[in-house]
Amino acid sequence: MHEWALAEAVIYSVSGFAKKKEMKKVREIEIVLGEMQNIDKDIFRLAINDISKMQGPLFSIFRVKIRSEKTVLKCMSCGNEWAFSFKNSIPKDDMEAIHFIPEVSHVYMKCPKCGSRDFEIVRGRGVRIKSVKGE
Amino acid sequence: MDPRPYVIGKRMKGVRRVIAVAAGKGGVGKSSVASLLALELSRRGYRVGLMDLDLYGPSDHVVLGVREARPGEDKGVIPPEVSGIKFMSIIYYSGNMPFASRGVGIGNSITELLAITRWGNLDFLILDMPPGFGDATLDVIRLIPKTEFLIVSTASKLSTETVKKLIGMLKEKRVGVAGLIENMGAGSHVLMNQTKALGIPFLGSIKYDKNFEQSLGSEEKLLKTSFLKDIGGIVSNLGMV
Repeated sequence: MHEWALAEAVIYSVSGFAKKKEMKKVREIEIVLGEMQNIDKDIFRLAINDISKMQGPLFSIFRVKIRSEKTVLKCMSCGNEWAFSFKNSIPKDDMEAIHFIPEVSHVYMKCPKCGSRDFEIVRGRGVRIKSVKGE
Repeated sequence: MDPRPYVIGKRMKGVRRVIAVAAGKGGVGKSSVASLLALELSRRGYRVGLMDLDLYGPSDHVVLGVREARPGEDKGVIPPEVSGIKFMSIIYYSGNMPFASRGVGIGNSITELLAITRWGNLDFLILDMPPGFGDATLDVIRLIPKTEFLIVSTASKLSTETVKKLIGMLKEKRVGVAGLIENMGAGSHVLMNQTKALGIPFLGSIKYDKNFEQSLGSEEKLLKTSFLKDIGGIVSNLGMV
């Protein structure tokens, strides 16, 4: 239930944002989930709903849009860019570690072209709030 | 928008004091001080957490002899208890493999660890910082404003010159400095006088302990070291008892 911890982060940050913008009601949150973190969408959505109910009228009626984002990595040694996929024979335990801390991918992965571990996560790392709509 | 920083304040709500054990340079015994400080506080009945934020060179698990412990999961990550200390480290995820990451990755990892770890109620959370004042130090200052820094140094100029810079940076950012501890002390008052001149409390000296190396990894042996005895005196000076 690590998803719950990240859902809490989303609701608290939206709550802070709404207060700053003097919103009385949040109507829509658009969330991007980077594939690398392998978040269980259903559990995450359920957690968002449960946690928002504890926050009072700000979240009384709102829509949650969740979009997945493909992960792209770029090698800092040779410049190669490649798409990350869990289907690329990553052992289950390593997948689990990356799920918690995506940066430990540096431990378990290498650039497929030159073998370097010095790569950056260009996009598709983890949880990001794309937009918040309200009034 | 990155939502993770917003939940870190909540994670720290049940933590009375956050103490970052830091140094200007590596090799002065920061991890030993952080681990034994946590051990001594736990021995005195305090609720203590220890988080190893030296992601390039985590070593608190070596000091404490952490072998099989793994975090639990309940609406986040629950640190396992080791010698009465709630202990969190990147090693649960990276194993014994090198974690070769650039600064942005270090910042992201620290933010993630702080956002997902549920400490519950603690009297003290000890953060073992990497040397210097790079990403980890700047992130801790930004993400946990109530952090107090506890600086470790030897009497060598090689260390004290960097400590002056670290203290200057902390003062500029108006970050609390609990004081300075001398490690590998040889009975000189040089560092004590320099510390006082910098306007920082000198909390005490840990004498060089030739038996310390043989005690690593064993709680039973660590409890008998003169290192831990000296830490005991420092704990009293920190106003922790």
